Amino acid sequence: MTARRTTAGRMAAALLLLTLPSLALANWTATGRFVYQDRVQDQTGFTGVDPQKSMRFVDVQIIDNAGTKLLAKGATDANGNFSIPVVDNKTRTVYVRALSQSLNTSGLWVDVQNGSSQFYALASSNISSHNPNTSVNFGTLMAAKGSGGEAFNLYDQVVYGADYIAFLRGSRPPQVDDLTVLWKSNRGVMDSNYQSALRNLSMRDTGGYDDTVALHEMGHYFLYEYSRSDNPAGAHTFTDCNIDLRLAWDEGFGTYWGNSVLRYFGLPNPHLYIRTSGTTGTGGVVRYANLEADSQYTCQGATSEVDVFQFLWDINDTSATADGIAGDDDLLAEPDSQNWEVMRDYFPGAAVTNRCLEDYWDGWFKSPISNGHLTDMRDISSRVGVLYSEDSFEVNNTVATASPAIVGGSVAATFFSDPDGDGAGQADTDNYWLSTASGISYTIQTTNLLGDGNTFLELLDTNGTTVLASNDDRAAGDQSSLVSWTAPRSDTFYIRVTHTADTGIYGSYQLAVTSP
Amino acid sequence: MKKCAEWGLSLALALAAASFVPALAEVEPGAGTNGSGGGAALQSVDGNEAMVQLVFHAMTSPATATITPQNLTEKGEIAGLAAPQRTVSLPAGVETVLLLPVQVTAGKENHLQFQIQLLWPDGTGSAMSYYLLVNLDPAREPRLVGNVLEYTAQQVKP
Repeated sequence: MTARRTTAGRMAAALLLLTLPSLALANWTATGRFVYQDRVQDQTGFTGVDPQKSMRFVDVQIIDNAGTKLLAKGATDANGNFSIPVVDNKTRTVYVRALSQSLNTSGLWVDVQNGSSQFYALASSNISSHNPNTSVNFGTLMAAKGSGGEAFNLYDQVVYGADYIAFLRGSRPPQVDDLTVLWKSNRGVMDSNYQSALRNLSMRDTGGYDDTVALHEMGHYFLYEYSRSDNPAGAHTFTDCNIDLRLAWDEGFGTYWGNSVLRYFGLPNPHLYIRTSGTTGTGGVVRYANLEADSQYTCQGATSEVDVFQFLWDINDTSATADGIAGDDDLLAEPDSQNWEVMRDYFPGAAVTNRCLEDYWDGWFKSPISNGHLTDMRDISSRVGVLYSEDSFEVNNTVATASPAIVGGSVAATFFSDPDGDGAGQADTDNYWLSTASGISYTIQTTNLLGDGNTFLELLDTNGTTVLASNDDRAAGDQSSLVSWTAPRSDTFYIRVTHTADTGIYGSYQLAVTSP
Repeated sequence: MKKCAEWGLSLALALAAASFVPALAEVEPGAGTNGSGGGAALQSVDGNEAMVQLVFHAMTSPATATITPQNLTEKGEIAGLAAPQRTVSLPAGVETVLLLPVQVTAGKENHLQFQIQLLWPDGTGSAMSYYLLVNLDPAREPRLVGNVLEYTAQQVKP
């Protein structure tokens, strides 16, 4: 397991106790600034622009090089600057180092380790024979790419994440929620992941500068620590249109959350999720996704993580979002706090099960959250094939209120009932009547299932109760339904489409009836 | 001396949590637009030869992958072949693992790139590349001081 920074904190504390003289006025002051080399990315990968960024809120230690004793400690500020008083009375060789941990910054509990319980540091050159009465300005010290830049870039990303959480919650994650990033250049890790039981965010060896990947994984951390997750976990891809609803939700939310951090802090390309190869030169994009204007992925519905993050993104983005397009392509520009309300107040509820986009939708509209904007929410959700609205045949929940099924035609329907009109949904059953001719064969089928449009199809006799034929899945792995049937007489029969019990209840389908 | 009282509790919680590590973690999104993906990892180094593990996914359909291992300069320019070109068949929906010996230079930082040309059954193709840093320059490795891996800072001129 990972030794969390508490272990190192103890060691540092012990060193301090052994080496620091009793409280006294400082003899000298260590000042300077720590920065790291960043690597700006766009949808092609690395742009070749490598600006210096502040190493914010990292621990700083003043070390006696002989025996590597700790003389004093502190932390950098939001600009990477430090000014640390040192109580000392000996001429000795000293240096300063910044560590990838936050023990000396009040209320910040993040760190970066190598996977073997070791932290990273960036060390200055030695100051030989330092006179204890002489203050030292160490100047600006940089962690370059390949020489600490990756570790401190990852540290900076989770600081951004912690501060975004502070914006949402009012404070950064406390110590009981401390987060460790694991990264090393040759650890043998080829895919990044988040291990919720240990609060470890494990980064791929080549992912030291993959900011949105790290923040996507921190989105999982946020769900586990400050909302609730039913994620079954496992492999998933942008191209898979039909993954588990709960997996699609969590992964889509993770990407939305990570890129929202970039949006909130005004960082470059907030609308792009980018995985790079880590290459030393320019380019090197492995895959990317455009949260605002995707043109690469063709999935539709709540079983696609791409559609989940595009939907969520549209809720908060504004005309001021630097997403490469002028204005906003939707009418919603809701504050992030609206989403947070749903995640904080509705998602953790005991009555909510199999948490997925359906629950987010319901939570958004249900009292007391009641975020509203139903028309605009339906606009942005329908763009990604999420059809959480009653179809035009409602209310057709019983044979008494059945809608007509036209032979040779098809109807687009949804599993979504909203009798009180508040926007939140309920489970739905659809009934249709079919006028038949004796001896004629009919093929009745559902197609184009989206979201959790998992159909169960029944043909009912004229009495509306006797089941004459039925089908759940037309084939293994295909949840659409198909019934072929010959009418015994000319009469009116009924078609009942119910939702097969699974992880969700909302979805859409098309019903078609044909005859030779 | 802040938060001393909490350290023991936190460590105990971390230790307790270790036994509940889920079998599956929340992994980053896999394959991209063409259903392909994978990565490279260093297995071992012996002199001027590095053993590299390459992993391939062809999610939606089988593919043929032609792999060109290259050495890059630090700026990312192609410096030459690191190993002969190889071609492997990738079955659909499963992970294919290839161990590949490549030439590296002892005593320096090696930037390896694996250009992968994929050919799909319908005759179309796509390309991807993996990158791997194999640092054999001790001066660029962090120095272990106590429990800390120290990199040497670059002094930025004012």
